[in-house]
Amino acid sequence: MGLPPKPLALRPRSCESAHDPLAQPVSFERRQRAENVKLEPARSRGQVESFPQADERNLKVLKFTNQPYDVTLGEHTLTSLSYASDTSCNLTPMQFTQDVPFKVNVLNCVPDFATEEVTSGRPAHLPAGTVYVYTALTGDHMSDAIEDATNKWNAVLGGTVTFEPTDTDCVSGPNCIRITENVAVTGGCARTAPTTANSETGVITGNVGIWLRVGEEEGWRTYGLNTLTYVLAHELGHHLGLDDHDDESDYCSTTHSVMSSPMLCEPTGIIANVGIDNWLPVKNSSYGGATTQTCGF
Amino acid sequence: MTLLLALSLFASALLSQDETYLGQLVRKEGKSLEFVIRPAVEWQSIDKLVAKSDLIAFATVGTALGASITADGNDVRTDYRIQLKEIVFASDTETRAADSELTLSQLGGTAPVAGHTVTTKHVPLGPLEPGSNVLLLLRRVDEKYRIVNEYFGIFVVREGIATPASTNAFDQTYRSGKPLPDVLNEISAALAKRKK
Repeated sequence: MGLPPKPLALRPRSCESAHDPLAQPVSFERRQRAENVKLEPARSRGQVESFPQADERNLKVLKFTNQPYDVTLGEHTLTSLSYASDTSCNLTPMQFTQDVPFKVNVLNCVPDFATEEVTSGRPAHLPAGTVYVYTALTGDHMSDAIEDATNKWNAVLGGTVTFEPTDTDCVSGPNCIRITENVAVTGGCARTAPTTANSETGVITGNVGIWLRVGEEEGWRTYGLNTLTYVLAHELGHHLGLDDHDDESDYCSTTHSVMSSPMLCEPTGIIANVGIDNWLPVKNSSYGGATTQTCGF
Repeated sequence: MTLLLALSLFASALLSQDETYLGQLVRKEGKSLEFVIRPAVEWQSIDKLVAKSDLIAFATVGTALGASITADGNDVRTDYRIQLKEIVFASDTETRAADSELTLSQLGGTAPVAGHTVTTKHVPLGPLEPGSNVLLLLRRVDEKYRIVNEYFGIFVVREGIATPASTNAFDQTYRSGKPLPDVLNEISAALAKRKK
């Protein structure tokens, strides 16, 4: 690799006492002492691409190139071909150079909430409670995909937000997600419709929509069930205030995590393998950027 | 009175006809709004991009000419003046020549609406940088051009390296840029496939 060594002292951020995932960290040493961390063998490999200047907001997720994320909580010895950056997992401070294996201690993770939003406050997200999901589109796996995507979200949202598919047009409002096809979706397979949110709380106040690509040769009707489920789940994740996964590649493919990598955390706080069955956990948490103790909201 | 009422109804009918989705949001909120657009973008390849290109050229980005809400009312586009330097490929119907100018219409920007502004920021590709040297893969839409697949048919060319301008979704081998001759070879190969 042609990259020069880039020493870096990672400054961890604590999720335990933060009231906002983007809040300033508290003493990491105190946090570290409180954890009884088991040594775990490193399960991750990858290649160093970059090691951007770390700050709390950039510490989003352990990131490994050329392979799915595969990291458990606890201490890992990573090879020089791995890198840790852009993470919301708490990490031990460490010195990193390209050619020297280094240790990293993953204490816990939080979802990667979107950093740029409609509002200047917290990430825009749906209100708690029942949110109806409606579409007039029929056929081509649509109803099955909605059912599957909403069921999987509901399974991990713990009732904070409950998606409920409906055949009756819920028309408008923040508790109604309307899925439509839209020629405005270009350069991708789907997107969320612009909406408005409370500038302080981030709670969505406007209409909520998911737009699917249409009008091109690869419109949504060409998607298989898994792809359509993934795409819908991904857009629902944006409406929950969550960001894209970090490998910056294909958001229309089921081979990637649904949202940012902390989405892969299981309720125990373990980051699982990627896949459509790995979804956001919500253990010991509340919704909308409030307290998080393990992984999840 | 009846006449006034009729005029009022007529005016509101006209207004509602002209109203766009973004315009509705701005009017409802009564203030300028900004939206961050995170489309679910797909993996790209040179083959895919070339297959959709009407014009492939080296160029220099000029000044932004202005922005407006799109015809469908759901987004904003910003027009840029583009100075072509060298044509790599032009479709049969393409008449642009080297050393000519064209207008590129890019998603995103700030447009006036209802006494306020509406801004859309597309995460995959930010505003173009005037003065930057680029390799463009463009498709023609009426008298203007758009970047192929909106975010991906644009490479920044610097010191012989072509790097995708988009931060998202491009062939892994391109992430940190490729030597220009390699890119041109791949474009040539893709063009050959396209002709078949």
